[in-house]
Amino acid sequence: MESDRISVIRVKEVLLVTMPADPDDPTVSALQERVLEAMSGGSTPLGLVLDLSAVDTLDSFFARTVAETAQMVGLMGGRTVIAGMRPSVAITATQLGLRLGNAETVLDVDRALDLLHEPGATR
Amino acid sequence: MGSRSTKSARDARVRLDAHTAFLPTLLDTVDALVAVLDREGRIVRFNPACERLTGWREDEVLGRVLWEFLLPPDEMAPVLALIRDLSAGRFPARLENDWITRDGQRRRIAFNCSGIPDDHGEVQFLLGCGIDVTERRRSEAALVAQRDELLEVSTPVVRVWEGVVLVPLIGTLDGRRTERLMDRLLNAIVETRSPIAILDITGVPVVDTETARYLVETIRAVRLLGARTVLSGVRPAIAQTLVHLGIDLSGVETRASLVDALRWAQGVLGNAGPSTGPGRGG
Repeated sequence: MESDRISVIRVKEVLLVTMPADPDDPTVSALQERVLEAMSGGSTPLGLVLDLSAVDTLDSFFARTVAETAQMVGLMGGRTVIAGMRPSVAITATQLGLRLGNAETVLDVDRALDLLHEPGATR
Repeated sequence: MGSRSTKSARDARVRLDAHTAFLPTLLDTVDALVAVLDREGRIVRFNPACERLTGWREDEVLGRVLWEFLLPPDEMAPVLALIRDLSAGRFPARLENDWITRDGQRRRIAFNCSGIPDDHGEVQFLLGCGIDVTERRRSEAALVAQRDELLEVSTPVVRVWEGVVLVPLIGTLDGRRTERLMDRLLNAIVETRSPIAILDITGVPVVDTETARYLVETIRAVRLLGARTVLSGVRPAIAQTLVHLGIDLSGVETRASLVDALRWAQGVLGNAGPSTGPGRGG
């Protein structure tokens, strides 16, 4: 099962997803389903932290899915924060003109958690 | 020019071509390397230019097989392939390869090669006419190295504050430089965990659409990493150009001077604590 490669962990009101190094299309599709599932269970989380520090390739399907997921999470009242994108990935993404929609970006997961928990964070 | 003088000149040419001393004199005088081999690769002619370059005298090399002493072993294959081509009548051909001189130096020679056929069209001799390009190739390599070095020093990335990296841009931006700049800046941001990058364009003489596009691209990549860029050194003239060119820098923090940019950076770090500094995802 491809979706087994993705685990969505809920830590302190935040959904944390670490993407594998080379996510294929089924994995990426599974990401969206699992995240939305987790958003709806119990009390709504503050948001989603997507850790991309292991990822070394990013394609347009991935980018689109992330942008869509961020939008969906937003509709459910959460924020999406992308953490730890590698320089090489950022350069490729820029050259390909990939957009990540309204997802916010930070340097690492630490800062992502700070951002979601900071006082006055939209909720 | 009357027809008489043309005719006499033509006669003179015929006489010259028939003159047995013409060819040897030419081979002795010319600065180009001229070497002739038989089909087995044995040297049958080795002109003074060859002697001067290699340190071997013609009488020492006559009858010796070229690749047994003049060629470096690592370049044997292309030369042998060329000799096969020439023997089979495929010429003219060009090849650049090294010769080893008597005292063991390598010289780079650019050869023009041809075959000399007999009356039946069978190739009897192989002619190589070469120029020593060692110095030219060396200076070309030095030039490339220098350009790379210049690229290196022209895009320094400096950590000026806890969480702030600065890139003072000097001169014009092109594709190659931008690529290098992006690479260094993004890596510096990740290594120093700096949420703020200052791109200072005080030293950039003119900003055109191309330059602006490169700047925007860099800023976008920085954002994807999760850091924010402030563009400083936007002088009145540059502000004017940017607006007239219709370049959209909305969403990009811009300041007139580096001092203002640093102040802004301090403000962001001070307010939010050193741990934050979110950007919008491109």
